[in-house]
This record gives sequence, structure tokens and C-alpha cells, in this order.
Amino acid sequence: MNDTIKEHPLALIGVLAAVCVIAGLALGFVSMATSERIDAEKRKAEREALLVVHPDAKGFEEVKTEHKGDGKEFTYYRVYDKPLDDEDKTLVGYACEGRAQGYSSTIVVTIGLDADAATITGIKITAQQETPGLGANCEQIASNKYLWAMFSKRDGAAAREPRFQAQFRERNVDSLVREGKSFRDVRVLSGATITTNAVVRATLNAIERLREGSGWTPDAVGGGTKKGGRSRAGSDATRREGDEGPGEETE
Amino acid sequence: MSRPLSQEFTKGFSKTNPVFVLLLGLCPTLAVTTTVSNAVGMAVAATFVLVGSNVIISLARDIIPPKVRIPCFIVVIATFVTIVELVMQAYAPPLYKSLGIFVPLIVVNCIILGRAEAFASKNSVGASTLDGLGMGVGFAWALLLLATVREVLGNGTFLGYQLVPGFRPALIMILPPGAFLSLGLMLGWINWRRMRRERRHAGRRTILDIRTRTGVGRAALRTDDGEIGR
Repeated sequence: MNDTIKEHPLALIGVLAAVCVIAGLALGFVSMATSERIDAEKRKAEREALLVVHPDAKGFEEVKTEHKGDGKEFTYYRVYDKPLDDEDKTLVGYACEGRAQGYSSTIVVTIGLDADAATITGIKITAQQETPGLGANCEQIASNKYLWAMFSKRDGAAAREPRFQAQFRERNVDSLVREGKSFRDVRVLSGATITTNAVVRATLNAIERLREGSGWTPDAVGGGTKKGGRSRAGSDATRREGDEGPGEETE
Repeated sequence: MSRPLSQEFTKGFSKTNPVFVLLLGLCPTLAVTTTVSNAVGMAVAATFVLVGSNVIISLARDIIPPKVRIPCFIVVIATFVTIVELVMQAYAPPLYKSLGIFVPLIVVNCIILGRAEAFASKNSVGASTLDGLGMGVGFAWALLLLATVREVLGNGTFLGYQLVPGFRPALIMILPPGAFLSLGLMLGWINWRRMRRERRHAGRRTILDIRTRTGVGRAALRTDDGEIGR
């Protein structure tokens, strides 16, 4: 191409525009080709997280609602012991996502609560980018799989879930209280207090969203619970009774 | 180019290795080498972007006006990175999750822009492809070496498998200081070897000079540490 034409401002604009258009077309094509699979993978990951926090559940009903406090839309799940199309399914709990700022990333946690929204059935950290070796250990699974096991017949076993997350199973919601710089009875990840606290705060955030955000009362949301006709205050009282943490609550 | 094409491929391994010699792309090198699997993922992604952008830029090198070449390169590179990102999200979600922010950051990896500017914009498509592949392989083995050292020492595992029971790993190797320590020691070792080799060559050349000039070959001319004895 002639050099004077090449240096003409219109040529500069034209080439740059052409490059951008071609790039845009290419990206559009790739996006179309992959979007379905990306969605499927996301749904799969969501489903897996739900099954971690409610291992025995069979049906998950997605509920989209507006947060009563800030008006933002959020999603929670009503969890049943049988598939959704089964007639005599009973509500066994809820699941919801919560988030909190960790040390170097936003930590996203999916939590499961029982039908009274009083006991945590499990938590699963679904997104974090914490420091490898410290905060990232919140997803570390204890394993005794050895390299040579690949060559011999004996294969080691890996734990089912990360040790850090397992400690939240069957915990009473109200036992998650602050005590000084950290939370009471929470085994801290060594060298990663901020991450540890962020996971707890994300869990509390999820609980808050589920309870206050959806205007939760055993009746309003949990229409399927067996013990109907209980007031909000009543369920609060039951929860206090079930508190296993030692000593009095502190703020 | 008068150089044989095969050299365009092999030069990236050692002679102009992007990490150990050119010292380019150190940010991802230091950041993602905490585990071997991350390093492999990063290396594959970066090599794909490198080859892809080299090919396109080399093809378009006569059309792109010099004044807007950098924005054009960036658009091409960013396009390939986004393709990698989408494909990784669709077919390797765990890898995408663990590499995190470092996938989009391949856009600003200076190896890729560096090769586009220094090589692909001046050379044929074939040579640019080989250059990209070679640089990619060079980047890959550097990452692998670093990640192996860091994962084995810092976590006691290789590809997630434990190596020695009861080994207490040195956590610092996984943390950022470990990256600097291991990369620094490797660079030091590589440079020490290079300097030693150069001194030897220089020494040998001097001996030859003296031999030809004086007509005698003397064992007294020692080159142990590169200096000429009397």
C-alpha cells in the first residue's frame, strides 16, 4: 500500500474500525458457541453447591424475590426431601447465597438452613480468590493421596469436604457471634483470620438475606413446615433454647 | 530472514527464553505458579493467544498503519484472550476458577505484545507462527519448573498428589516471597552459567590468539577461571 495513503487519518480510522469490527464478529461467534455450555456449567456448579449444603435433599425450588430492606432482587431456594413434582414432599430447609469482602476477593458462600432457619445444614464456598497457601485453604480438602498410589494399586482417600467448611455443619445460627476479633467457636485458618471472618460474615449475610430479606417467618415462607401457626418471636425463642454455645451472647 | 525457520522455533526455549532471558511476563509467572496445574493452564492459554495474535498480526502487517499499530495489536490480543476466557469457562470451569483474574490479564502480558511488536509485525506468517510456538513452549517450561519447585516445597504435593508422608511443607514457597526467591535463584544460576561460559569462550579465544601469534601452545596458559596465566 502507498505510504501516503496509509498515513491518511481516514486510513487510520478505517483500519482500526475494521480490526474492531472483525474482532467483534469473532467474539460474537465464539460467545454464541459457548454461552449454552457456560450456562450449563454454572447451573451444574449451583446444583452441586446445593447438594453439598443439603446432601439428602431431592428437590430445590428456586424463589426469586425482592429484598425487603434494600429492594434488590435475590434468589433463595426452598429445599424438599422429595423431587418437586412429588405430591407429599415436605420442606426440609432453605438455601441461599451470601457474600462478604475477604482479604483479596469477594467470598461467595452458599449456605443451607433447616426448615426453622435456625440450624445451618452446611456451607459451600463457591467463589474466592484468596492468597494461595493461606486464605485459599478454606477450600482445601484433606487428602492422603500419594503420587506413587498412581503406580501401585492402593489409592489413598480424600475427605469429602474441606475441613474448614465442615465445621459449620449442624451449627446453630445464633452461635455465630463475634468474640473480640474473631467469631466464637470457629476454627480459624492459620494465617488467614480475615478470610475466616469473611466466610462467617458471608454466612451471616446469607442468613440475613433469607430471614429479613424475604420477610421470613415460619408461616410466610415455610408454608410447608409441619409446625404451623408459630409467630416470629416464638421461633426466636426456640432458637435461643437450642443455642449450644457457652456463655452469654455478645455483640 | 536468512535464519533457518527451525531457529525461530527453538530460540524461545533457551537463547531468548521469555522468562529467564528476556524477563518478560513476570507477573503471571510469579502469580500463578503456586500449583503445577495452574501453570499448565496458564501456559496453554498464553501460548494459544501468542500464536493466534502472531499469525493475525503478521498477516495484517502490511495493512496496519504504523501510527495505529499498538491499538490494533491490543484489540487482536484482547480478542484472543476473550476467546480463551469463554472456552475455558465452558470446558474447564475449575481451571477458570483457580486462575481467576489472571486469564483476562493475559491481555497485558508483555510477552505477547512484545512478540507482536518485535517479531510478528516484521516477519512472515510461517516464521511468526513458529516464533509464537517457541516462545509459548519457553514460557511453559519456565512456568512448569517454577511451579514444580514451589508446589513440591511449599505444599508437599505434585499435581495435587502428596509426595512424602509426614513432610512439612515450607509455606513461604507458595506465598509471593517464595515466587521471588525461587525465580531469583534460578535467574542467578542461569546467569552464572552464562557468564562462566562466556568467560571460557573469551579465554579460549585469547589462547588461540597467543598461540597463533607466538607459535607455541603452552600448558602454562591456564583458563580455569577465565583469566590468562602468565
